Amino acid sequence: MFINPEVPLESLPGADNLDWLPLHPRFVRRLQLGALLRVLVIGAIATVAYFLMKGGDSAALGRFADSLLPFALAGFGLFAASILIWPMIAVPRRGYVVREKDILYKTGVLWRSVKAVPFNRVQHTKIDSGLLDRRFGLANLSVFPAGAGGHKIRGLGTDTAERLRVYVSERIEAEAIEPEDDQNSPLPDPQAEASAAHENGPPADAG
Amino acid sequence: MAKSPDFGRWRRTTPFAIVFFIRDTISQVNTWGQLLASFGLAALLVRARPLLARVLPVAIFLTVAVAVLRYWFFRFRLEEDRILIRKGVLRKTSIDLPLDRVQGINLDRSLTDRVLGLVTVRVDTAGSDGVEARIPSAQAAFADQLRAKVGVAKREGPAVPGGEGDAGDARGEAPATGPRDSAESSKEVIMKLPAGDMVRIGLELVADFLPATLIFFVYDPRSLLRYFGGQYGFTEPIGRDQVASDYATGLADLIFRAGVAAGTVTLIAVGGIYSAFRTYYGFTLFRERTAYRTRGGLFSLKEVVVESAKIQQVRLSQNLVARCFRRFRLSIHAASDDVDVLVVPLLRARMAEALRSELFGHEGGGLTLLPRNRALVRVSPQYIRARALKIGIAPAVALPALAFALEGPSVGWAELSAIWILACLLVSGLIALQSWRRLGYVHDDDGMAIRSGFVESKVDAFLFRKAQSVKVTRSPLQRRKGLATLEVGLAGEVLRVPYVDHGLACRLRDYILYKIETNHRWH
Repeated sequence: MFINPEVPLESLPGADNLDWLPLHPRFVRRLQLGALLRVLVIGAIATVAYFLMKGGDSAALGRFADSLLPFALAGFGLFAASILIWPMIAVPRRGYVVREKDILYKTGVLWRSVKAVPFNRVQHTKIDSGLLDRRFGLANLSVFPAGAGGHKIRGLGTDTAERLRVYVSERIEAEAIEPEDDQNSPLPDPQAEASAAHENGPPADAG
Repeated sequence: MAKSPDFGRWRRTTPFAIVFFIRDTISQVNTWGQLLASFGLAALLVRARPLLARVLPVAIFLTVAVAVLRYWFFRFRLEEDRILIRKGVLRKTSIDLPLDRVQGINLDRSLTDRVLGLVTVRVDTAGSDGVEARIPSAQAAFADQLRAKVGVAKREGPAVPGGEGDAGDARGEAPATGPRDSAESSKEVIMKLPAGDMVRIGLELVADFLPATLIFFVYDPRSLLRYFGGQYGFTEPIGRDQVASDYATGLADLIFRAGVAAGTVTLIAVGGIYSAFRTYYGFTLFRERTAYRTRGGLFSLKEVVVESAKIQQVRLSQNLVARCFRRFRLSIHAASDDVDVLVVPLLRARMAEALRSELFGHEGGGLTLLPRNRALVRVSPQYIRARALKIGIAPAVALPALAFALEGPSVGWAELSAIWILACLLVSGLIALQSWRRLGYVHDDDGMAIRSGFVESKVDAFLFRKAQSVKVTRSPLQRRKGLATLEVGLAGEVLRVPYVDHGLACRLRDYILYKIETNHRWH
């Protein structure tokens, strides 16, 4: 659609046909357990509320609680079933790819998105794992560029997350040490030198 | 001020900084506290005025005492390669700021500062950690030394903005430092705003308040005035039910209310013009080798500096009033989360385009900042449908459902619901249509410009190599129609191009990634 005589578009590495790496197989179980806990807590609160309404002085309130009961039960059942089943649908559709220059993460069932964060823009990385994550041997990897567009890849194996973090750190350092590797890249960027000359200063690297 | 003071040891700023700390203490009480305080004050005014005489002095004394303590514990020190700041009364904070990380040195000069020849120095860092490096009411020589040292730290020699920018009226006798003379020659005025433009800037404020004056056509302005007067104890209080909504009846009444509305608009305009004078009086935009600098202000002078290499995003916006004047507002976002972006409050289309091509250098020649430029391509009309459904469906369904739950089904309910749903869809459709008309984008080999807005229109332009992340999103409708939304994460914010061809979005994503990954210069 756009004309670019210097860079043949077909030669650009596309992000469409990639071998997406799946998340850890235990991640579905972990999400389901989390959902189950949430269902139990909400159910307990609702039960307490029901008996409070029934046991109160007001008879009208008790009747109201009784009339509400079938709707509440049906709604609660639907809710519980959906959040227990949802991880089985959503998790297989998530995935990540680590390339030499960037890291991609895809997510979404109805609204699907693919986001790419290049290593030479990453400011810092973070690994965190909650109580449930640790129980299942999982960890979450966050990659932060400047501004608001980072990744949070949930549900990696602990060792995978650590290996990824080390790799990302290595790539960030490599990119920071050789800021002039434009010549090594598969496609030449003739404008980089010209603009460097234009601003007559050393290029500010990310460090 | 005959001899330049030594900033190499721990120093306090001048005692005039207490004024700054008083103001800062008041504004640091967070939003909720401020709300509470203002409502408390209003309540005291209304209900218990005698108590006010006791509470107010205590509050004032506390504020001043806190400010004096904060002044006493605020110390700073300028070393060869770093600034150190120690502050805090109860919670001690120490800031260690390497000079080569400094993005810019901005100056604020309040009225006291200007009379006494002092400056408030705001050191701008690129970090997202929100370090507050502000040195209130320091001697002007400090700013000069700081700038000189930052210049050495960045090995740019005289290219660094020298201290002459603030040399102005108040301290012509300040000691001349090395880089100043050479920087003087490199300074170049790009544009100045004459006093007449202050009026235009002030009037632009009216556009935001115009809808509010419609209230006078619904409520009688006299009883509204009496109601609010009564609330604050100026007149005999009247009940809220006495402020009946009565639509204007008769020509004389209509003329009266139109007069009140016009008077309110005039008041707002006068206030706007005053605040425009206060903020932008004598507004000047300079170029200093690699940096851009603005200066303006009536009582307190404010300076903002942005290094051209740090510029991430340029935005040109225009509201309804500005459109009548055929003027625009330009804001330049740099690679820091400092709220003080560089703003040019009023400029013409030609100036905007000239600035854009200058800021982006030889890159981005095919871009534009002007909202009505023909180069901007519209997005797919499918956007209208999706947008109208998104904003219209909830109110369209919610109200009939609520009525059904309360009243049960009836013929009247069905009729009213049908009318309501039609009206909702019509209104949301019109809103979506207008949003779609505002949407547009254009890109060339180096960058992209995105137009958006609803009443106001704005164009955001950026260079691909400044991007931080790229995302392609597809909703179910977009997947059916072969469309996608492209989101480009910049250091400041995320910009979206909704409802473009999926293939185009993917190609653009791959191209932007290629541009990012072969170029390290983004700040």
